[in-house]
Amino acid sequence: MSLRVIGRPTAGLVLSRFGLGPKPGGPARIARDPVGALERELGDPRRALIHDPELPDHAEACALARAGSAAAEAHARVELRARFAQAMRPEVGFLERLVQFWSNHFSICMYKQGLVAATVGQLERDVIRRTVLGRFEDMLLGVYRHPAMLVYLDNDRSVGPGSPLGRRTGATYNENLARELLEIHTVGAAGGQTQADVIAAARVLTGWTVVTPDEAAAGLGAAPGRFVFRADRHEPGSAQVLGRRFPAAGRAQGEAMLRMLARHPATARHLAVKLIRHFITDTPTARDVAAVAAAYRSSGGSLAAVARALLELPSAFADEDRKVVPPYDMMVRWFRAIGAPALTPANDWILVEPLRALYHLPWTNRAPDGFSDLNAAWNGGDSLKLRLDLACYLMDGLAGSISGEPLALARSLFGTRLSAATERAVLARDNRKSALSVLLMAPEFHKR
Amino acid sequence: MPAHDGEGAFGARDDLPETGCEESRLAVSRRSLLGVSAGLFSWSMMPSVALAGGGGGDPRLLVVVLRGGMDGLSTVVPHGDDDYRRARGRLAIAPDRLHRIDGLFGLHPELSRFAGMMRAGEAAVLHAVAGPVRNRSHFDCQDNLENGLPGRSDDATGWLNRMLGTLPAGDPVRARGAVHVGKAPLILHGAEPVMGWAPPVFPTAPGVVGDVVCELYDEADPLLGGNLAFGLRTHEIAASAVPSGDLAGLSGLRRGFVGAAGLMRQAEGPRVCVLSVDGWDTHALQGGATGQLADRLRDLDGCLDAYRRLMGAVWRRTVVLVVTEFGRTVRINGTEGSDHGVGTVALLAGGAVRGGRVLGDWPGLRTRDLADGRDLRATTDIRALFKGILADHFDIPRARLDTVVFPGSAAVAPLRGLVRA
Repeated sequence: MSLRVIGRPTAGLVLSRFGLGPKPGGPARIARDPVGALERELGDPRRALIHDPELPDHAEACALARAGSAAAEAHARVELRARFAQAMRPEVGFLERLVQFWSNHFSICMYKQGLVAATVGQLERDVIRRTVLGRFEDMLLGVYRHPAMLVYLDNDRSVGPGSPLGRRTGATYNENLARELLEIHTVGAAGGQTQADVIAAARVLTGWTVVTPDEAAAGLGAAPGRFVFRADRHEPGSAQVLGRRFPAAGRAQGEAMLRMLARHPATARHLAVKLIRHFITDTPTARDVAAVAAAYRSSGGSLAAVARALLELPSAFADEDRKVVPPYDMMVRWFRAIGAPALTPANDWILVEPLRALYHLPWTNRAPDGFSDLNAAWNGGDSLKLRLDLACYLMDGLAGSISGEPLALARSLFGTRLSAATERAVLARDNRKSALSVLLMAPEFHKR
Repeated sequence: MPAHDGEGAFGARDDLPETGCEESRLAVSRRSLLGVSAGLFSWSMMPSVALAGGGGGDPRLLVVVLRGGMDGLSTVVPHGDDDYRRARGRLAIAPDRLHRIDGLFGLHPELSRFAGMMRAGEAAVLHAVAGPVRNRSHFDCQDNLENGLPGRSDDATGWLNRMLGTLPAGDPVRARGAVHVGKAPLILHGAEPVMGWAPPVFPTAPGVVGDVVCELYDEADPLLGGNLAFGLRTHEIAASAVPSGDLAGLSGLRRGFVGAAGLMRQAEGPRVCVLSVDGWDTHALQGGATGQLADRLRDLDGCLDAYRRLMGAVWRRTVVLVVTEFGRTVRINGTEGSDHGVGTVALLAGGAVRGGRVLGDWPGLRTRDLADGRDLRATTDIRALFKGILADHFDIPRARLDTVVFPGSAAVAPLRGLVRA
């Protein structure tokens, strides 16, 4: 199925706006058919997966949490290194960009608890990556059946007051997960929901929890940390959410509610706005939103269909770069461009400390709405100064391992998108480290 | 930062040199020789101006935004309300643990330094307060706290930025400007350029590289270029105002407050500062006299005190305003915590504050007194507090407050008399 893109989808634009940024020679390698490179990725969702037998599966990740939060956070760094290494691989990387987008859509803060830190990377690998071109409702259900999300938003402790456990102990529900389900994950803040809908959704989600160590020891669950539906704390009775009634059905009640929310027209719009805001512009037009939302609805919520619809927008390949590249993406671009060494436990601070200082370390955004997609969050003078300092510091350490002249590298990275102003700036410094630092700060790296 | 063994491409972590070395700071920058547009860099080139404004002249304002919804009922406890113990259940704090203010209210045990400020008349509380948006959503209510609008909006400007914009061009507060410590908050977004500061992380880039990059951006991306130049200038000011030695060994939060004081006490420094504190969303295991909330309050209390001491003589012209986006449910929830609510407290501290009291209209804690039968009702609109402080501390006229700074707020009367003339 060929994409029907509008405008001039040059190799440089494809790599920059919808990819992870060029590797040396990237534009030349895909120049013959840049759109074809995107189509190939969309046709092969398995490319989104990370193949690394060292990384834990779900059961192993849950078990890691037993070793305490320090061990769990150390493991999150292992997952971060794997994620960063993955970003070095593709020629273009549109699938990887989508994985990052959807992961941030279901943003989780690993500092919540050891179980969250131990499993958040595995959630991204085994749920987000596997459903990145599938149906949104399958991604949603996968996320909602995972301990990282359930514990992050306190649903593991939410008990229906009318449930057997609730009546016995006086325990009740909390609204945290239900509120974010509506406000962030599906219909959005303007989705028309009321406080009554939040409460109803919270009651429906009672019982969606994780096995505790004590329960596992008593044989009451597969293993500690694993998702389990506990009927004895699920609020009985039917519930009404956004005008739809969900009869009592145990776990199936929640599943039906999640699928309804995934299919809701407000969700289609909410997701469309977020996608366009992330990839193309801070100010999506109503027409563009409608086009992407329509693709979502007519395809039954297919994330492949919305990805295609995004690429087929008139604004997708407009020449002007309207988005600031946020810090994680910047580090990916820099490392791809200079062929930086692989990250190890000894040197990964070179990724982690800058991202911490720039407020873009994956899985650390405290609030569930995730890292901002707006330029204003990333283009402040203090942040830009930090980028400049970092560029110089990196080149101080790495310039020796980069081969070739800075100008030649610039041309091989950006091809026809390299501006004359950037060329002059790179040439303005005789000192090789300085010239490379200037190159790293060129707008070609920081806008897309 | 964690120590690392072994080599790796960048060598051992300890190689990282001290930031802001003499040489980089003194390096002559071509940009500063050429001069820059007056709007951005007016503070460095301003002649001394006659001091204007209230608060004894040359006012300072530190806004501390507590993100997550601080439980006002545990921060300033209505121990004298007959329904308190029953309504709060296991969240209730015994009256004998509190720092008593009066027959109705007492401060949480961990606010010992703030209690001292209250006794000295330099701190005050406004209880049962909330913004006009009361839908219990973090995002909507934080945005509303910061954009100062009458209802939900995606407007991206903050009331504090708009306040700066209403000041006359020569006004020292506007000229000296505002700074955010840490991430840029909505409350300072807008047309007025504001500085951002955070403890330095990497060595400062050589001035010559910065010059080339600034020139490149001037041509290729003027918006980024302007921002970068501004950031570089801010660094120059801050490097002398907050030596890295002052920050060594402090917690992240404490460094923020120390940095704020370092910047604000300078004669040439910013007059307005905003910093944020996370971690108030106590849905689970909130605790009472001890526990998670208590730990947060202890940190905050210590930071406010450190800030006060570092501000020195300038403290008497300073107002610290501590606000949060909403309060929490009166009743404990199913996870030994509280969920999102409505009414909460705002705290004031500073030598310029006419304090020693709790203001507000106490609505009571009987179930019929509560908002939706679950939350402390808000009887004061927080914009009244903001307007009162801006009127008394910065002499902002009522007409401007009602239209530009807080659009659509004509019916909200400023709470005057909180700041010394």
